[in-house]
Amino acid sequence: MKLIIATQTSLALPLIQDLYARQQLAAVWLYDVTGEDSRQLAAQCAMLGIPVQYMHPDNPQALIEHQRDVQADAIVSCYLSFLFPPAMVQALQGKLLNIHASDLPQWRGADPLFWQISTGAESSCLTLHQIAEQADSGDILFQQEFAIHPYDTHQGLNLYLSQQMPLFIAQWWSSGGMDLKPQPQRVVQNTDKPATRPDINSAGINWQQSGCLDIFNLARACNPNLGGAAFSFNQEVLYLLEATPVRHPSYGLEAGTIVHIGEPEGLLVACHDGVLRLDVIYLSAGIFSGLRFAERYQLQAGQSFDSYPITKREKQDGRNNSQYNELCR
Amino acid sequence: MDTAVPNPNTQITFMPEDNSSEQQYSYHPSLLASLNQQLRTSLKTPAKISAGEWPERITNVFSESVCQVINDSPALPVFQQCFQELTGFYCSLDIPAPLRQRQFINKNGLVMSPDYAIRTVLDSVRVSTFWQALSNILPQYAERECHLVYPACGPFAPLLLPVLHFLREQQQLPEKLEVTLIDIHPAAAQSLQALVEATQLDSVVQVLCQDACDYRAEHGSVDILLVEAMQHGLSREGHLNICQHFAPLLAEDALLLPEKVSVRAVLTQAEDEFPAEPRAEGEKNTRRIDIGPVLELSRDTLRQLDLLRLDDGSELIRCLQVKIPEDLDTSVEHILLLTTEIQVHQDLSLPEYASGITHPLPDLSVCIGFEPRNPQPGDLLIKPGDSILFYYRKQGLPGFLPVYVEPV
Repeated sequence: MKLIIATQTSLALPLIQDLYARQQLAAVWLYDVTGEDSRQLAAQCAMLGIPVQYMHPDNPQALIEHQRDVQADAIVSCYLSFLFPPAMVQALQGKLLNIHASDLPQWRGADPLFWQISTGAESSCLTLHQIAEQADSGDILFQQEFAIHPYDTHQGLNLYLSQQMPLFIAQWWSSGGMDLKPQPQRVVQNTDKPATRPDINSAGINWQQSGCLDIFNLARACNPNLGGAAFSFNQEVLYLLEATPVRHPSYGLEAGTIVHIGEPEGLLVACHDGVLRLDVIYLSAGIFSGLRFAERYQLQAGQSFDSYPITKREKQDGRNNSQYNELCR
Repeated sequence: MDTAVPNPNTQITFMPEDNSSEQQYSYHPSLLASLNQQLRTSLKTPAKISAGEWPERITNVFSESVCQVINDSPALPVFQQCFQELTGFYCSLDIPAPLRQRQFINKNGLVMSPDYAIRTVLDSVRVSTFWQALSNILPQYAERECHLVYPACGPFAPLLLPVLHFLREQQQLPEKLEVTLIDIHPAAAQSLQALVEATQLDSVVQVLCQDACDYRAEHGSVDILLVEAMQHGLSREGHLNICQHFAPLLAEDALLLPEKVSVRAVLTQAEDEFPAEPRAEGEKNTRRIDIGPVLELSRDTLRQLDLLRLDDGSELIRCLQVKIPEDLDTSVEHILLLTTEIQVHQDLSLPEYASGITHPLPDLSVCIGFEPRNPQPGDLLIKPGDSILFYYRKQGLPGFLPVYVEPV
């Protein structure tokens, strides 16, 4: 068996190196080699003498010919945002495969890990499926479950899966590889959600709607790729990289209100269903523990954080204006 | 039954547990020293002064400040000097920064960090009004027993300790006076105890470190209740909760200081109340529409509060109902303001804007005759002619909660 690995990040490197060592690597197809990471990947391939083909959406024929030239049994895409043109999908039918990190058809789309972490999934699976014209909809060849630790971050889980990829492909191959009969995906249900690339709305904290666990999970899902889950204070955007739901009375306080600042409890904030400790916050001035941030910038218990994108009315009451608050106590 | 009045001459009493120990903060000594130095720098405290000098400096500044206030010539520099000396003393105690900066909300309201609470001294009108009241009241107890309790008094008990020192100096301090200072914050209690010792008031004053609402005493054992634990609009801190807790402990002829806190509902346009340019002294917003009282808190009304217990265990106090005028001009947006006036004692009072705690509090959740541009959960949309009933929320951040009243 010889495979082509189609990718755009060095997260695919463990799989590339493993296949190379087993002499099962026909070539690497690289897409969007503009960032430092993908340039390093290209350099690694060059160093190992691996044939590299650059992917251009407007020239699928070059890829088809390259596949033929290197006599690859299949092309496996992983960590790739390239959408194969229909003509190419047709031409390479059955040989064009993708590794997707969800139990398809649940979480079809660009970033299944973000959505699974942000919704608190405790497990998922790697799915090797044939590429069809509609993204992530092709027949399934092989699946393997993996656990999601409650402290996994987006990048942490990505790195873990990157390390698991060689074993996953080896097990697929030892189970029959290309001879396995592809299984159609089950019928899509209403409970199956899309996994679109997270945007400003999906990476923002809505204090009114999100509970402690929701925010805890969102912070993990946004760590570190999105810089953290966004929220705001005095119109300033802050990013929450780590948070912990804690047992602490919230006294019916409005969600987003600071309940406590101090050792050893830290910076505690009321949510509608409990209390959350803000552990690590990123802002333009640096990365701070929640407590140190609160002390350095002289936050006061009773002040409130706002949702992001900012939804609160302009604060004519000066609620978070420390000078005004000082005047009025 | 618990002891009515704990014995003076005892050390600071921590209840229910002593968590002030420096050991629990495992910071490097250099870091702690640096944080304490940072406080000194930020507060511009006096240059290094030896521990032995502080008692004289504190008693001097107390005497001078109270003397000036009583002679009707208080000026802001007096309080700035008082603040500077007190914060210098506070810094000299080397209370660990993590303890000084601890702040939280408990079941009765906001507990500020002592680092923040020390600034009360700078509210000169508030402080001087209470000093005048207390220097008039306390000598009247010369011939009788008097237990004065000052709950949630902060790290300096600023409304009382200077007056006690001054009266003793004037030989006007009642012989049978016993004072109990209560603060929940261990750093505040540490500061209080040190201040009481520095002013040699420890034969009169005892310090308790506990939630004021957990204070136990015999019925009728408090003769003067001095409490000032509020922010503007009687909000955020536990003033009302504390008053309510102490109500059954007050003696028949006990004094509540302040005597009356009056909160009223007012409609106005935001730009009239809060103009971009500061108003000239004495100039007022003449376009306010007063729609009535919301709550009057006095010794008498304290016993008649209409308490509601909700299913979730929280408590509300039913306050007064007001009506939005039928003819309110809705071509402009009116906001609801809660205004506060405080009658400290007899003719001594804190009118609106005189002190931080008598600044009006806008409630932007109430939208009268207009749709908010950015609706939020909890918005109260009402129109001219509607009535609002105010409840007072006791838990968390105490404050008023306006509720629409269905027409009968």
